[in-house]
Amino acid sequence: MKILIADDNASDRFLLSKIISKQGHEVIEAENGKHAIDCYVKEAPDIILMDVLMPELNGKEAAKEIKRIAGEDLVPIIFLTSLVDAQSLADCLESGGDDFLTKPYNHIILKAKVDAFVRMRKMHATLQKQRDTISANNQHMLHEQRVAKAVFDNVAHSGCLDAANIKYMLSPLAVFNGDVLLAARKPSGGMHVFLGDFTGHGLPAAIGAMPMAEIFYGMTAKGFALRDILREINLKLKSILPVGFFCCAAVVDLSFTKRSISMWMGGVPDCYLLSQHGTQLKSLRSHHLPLGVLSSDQFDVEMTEHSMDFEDRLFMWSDGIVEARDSTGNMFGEERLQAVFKQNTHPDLLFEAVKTSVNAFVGETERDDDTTLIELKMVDESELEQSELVLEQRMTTDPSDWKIDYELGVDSLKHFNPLPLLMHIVMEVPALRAMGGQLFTVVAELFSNAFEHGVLKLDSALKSTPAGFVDFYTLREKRLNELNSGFIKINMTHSSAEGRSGIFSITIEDSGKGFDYAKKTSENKPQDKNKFSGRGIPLIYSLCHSLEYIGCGNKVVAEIHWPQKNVAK
Amino acid sequence: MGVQSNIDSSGKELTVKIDGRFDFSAHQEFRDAYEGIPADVNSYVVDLGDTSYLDSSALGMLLLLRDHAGGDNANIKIIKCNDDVRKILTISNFEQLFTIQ
Amino acid sequence: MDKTSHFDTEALVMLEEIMEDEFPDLIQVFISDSDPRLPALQQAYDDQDSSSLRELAHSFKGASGNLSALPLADLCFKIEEKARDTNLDGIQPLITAIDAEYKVVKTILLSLIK
Repeated sequence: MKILIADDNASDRFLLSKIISKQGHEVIEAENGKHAIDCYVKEAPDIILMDVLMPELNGKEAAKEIKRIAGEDLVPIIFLTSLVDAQSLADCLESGGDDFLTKPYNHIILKAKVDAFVRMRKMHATLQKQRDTISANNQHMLHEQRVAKAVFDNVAHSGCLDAANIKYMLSPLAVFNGDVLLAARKPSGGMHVFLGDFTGHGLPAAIGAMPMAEIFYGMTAKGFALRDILREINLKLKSILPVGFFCCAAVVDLSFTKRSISMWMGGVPDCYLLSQHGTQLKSLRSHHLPLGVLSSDQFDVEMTEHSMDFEDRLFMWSDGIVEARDSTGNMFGEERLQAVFKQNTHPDLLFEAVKTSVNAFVGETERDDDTTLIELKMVDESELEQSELVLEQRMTTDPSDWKIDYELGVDSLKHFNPLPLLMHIVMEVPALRAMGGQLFTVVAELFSNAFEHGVLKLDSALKSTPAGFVDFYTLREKRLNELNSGFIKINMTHSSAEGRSGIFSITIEDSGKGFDYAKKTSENKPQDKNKFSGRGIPLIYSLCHSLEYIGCGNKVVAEIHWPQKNVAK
Repeated sequence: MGVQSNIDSSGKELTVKIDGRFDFSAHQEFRDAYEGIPADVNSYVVDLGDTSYLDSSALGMLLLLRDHAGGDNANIKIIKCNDDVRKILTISNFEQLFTIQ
Repeated sequence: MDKTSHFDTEALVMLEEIMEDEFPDLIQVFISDSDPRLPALQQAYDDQDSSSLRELAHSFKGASGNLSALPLADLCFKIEEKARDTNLDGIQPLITAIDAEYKVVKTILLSLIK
């Protein structure tokens, strides 16, 4: 160590210097207080032996100044004094001294004290190094989190959380508490909304959110149904998350045209549906296990339907709201939440009321990053901004303008069901995927009519009684086996206007004699629901934009437009 | 918070009891309770009679136990839940995976 | 001259052990340091400068103490006290006594390093 000896007495300095250097330390000498300060600045000694009474500047003042200059660094100062009264000694320590040594100097005690301070210096240096390491690691970790957050934001940016019908509260670092909010417009109209709560904290909680968000946005943009998206997400999470980790979620398929929502809830607290101008409150509960727990074959995608009138609202939250704690550790609780809803008179102000209520309850204590809250309002889709979504999400090239002619001869008609193939072609169009079910119904019904009534010449009147049904199918079997001539021509076309809307049209022509469609149309009234027979035309009418029979009735053209509007026929 | 466990006289059923808060701090003790026990044990009882609180990491631990005990073939009963604990298990629909009494 | 009435002889022996071959140097430093102290003390008294008196006496006390010349140190302490109380009575006799004591101490010390 380097030790500074500040004493105005030459023989004192000499004696001390000898003792100290015998201990193996390097010695610097100063004659007065001012000189001592200069030496400290220039030589940076590790320990200082400071005489109290010195000319120029006394030891106490010099000590104060040196301690000030040292700042956080530890430089022990041992006062050398001939004063022995307790008050004087205490004064020495008050002014920044760490110890004192009385004259005449006892070299054994001096050695012991110097050793003690050498040990203390080493310990202090270790402590400072550790503190600096911890601080650097912490900075590093915060930086990593910021990078992770940026990556996540890139995945989520295409969302529509800022849509006019959505209000939400989400802390910037919520993803590190496992809380996720996703919302996306569907290419065929409507939107999907996802509220998720992963188990765990920090990076492990956030890391599951990324593949999940990718799947959600990617598949929604490609027109997949919410059921399929949930299946994919569950499969993904089950495979990547360790056992014991899962994601509680509330997922909504909101249809503006049908004024209804389909919901899937697994492991989340009850959601509230506010209707009838805020007078009726319905609580919706989870019926499913969280995502990532069950294997694919056990996973249940059953969704519940709820109608939502114009201005009705759905409120969803993570458990952070109910479990928010105040400074004494009490939870906000479900009762307080319900009270906010009961006391509120204006639905429009409810969201803020919940927010304010929770924030007031939690007070100045640490804000949790998992008080996540979202309100969805049923509106007219025209109130929302045009979604740019479809144009940007082109990760593969989807066919948007095409036509196909497909003709089936006798042999094919006898042995081949063309429907899966036809549907496969149709489903290549993202917007049509969402209507998959409806399209299948239309195509299947029209094909069946063409085949049974056109080619096989079966009379639909046979199906008017239960017994007749059996006869019909027996006859069908017979005629199919005997078939030796006939065809069905299928033409499908699709065109799209800048990816925002499109028209799908299917024309089916059969080799049969047709039928008197004008007569049938006037006969079929919507209330004839208990008729077993008929060509199912009323059903198709409601699904299509237009349906036309041509020529003698053996050719039919059905047109379906997307986005769908309520068709009044 | 404490975890106690014992195997019954038939040697086939393990009972694990958690006192106080069942949260992440119980993780190691909980695992120790069921790992490394005799292979004869084929049924499990989780006694939550003195459990005041259950959080999502506890749910995760139950899933780990289930996985260890044979997944879909596991025979696990969760007993003596108080109202708060029951509520948490209900919201997560865990009765679809465990027998809850 | 009797060493023991002017020094703590045990301490002196220990000092010699510590200083080893630099013991003579220490004595020389002490002497060259202390020789001017007497005239300085006298001057301070003549100037009626009690604070300088106090500092000088304190310093001389310390130095002599380290050389274990305790009686000398004690005399210096007496001047220091009086000067602290700004009581300049009776200081002249003390200075005279210090002068005499120092001469003896100096002789003894020099004899040790011959």
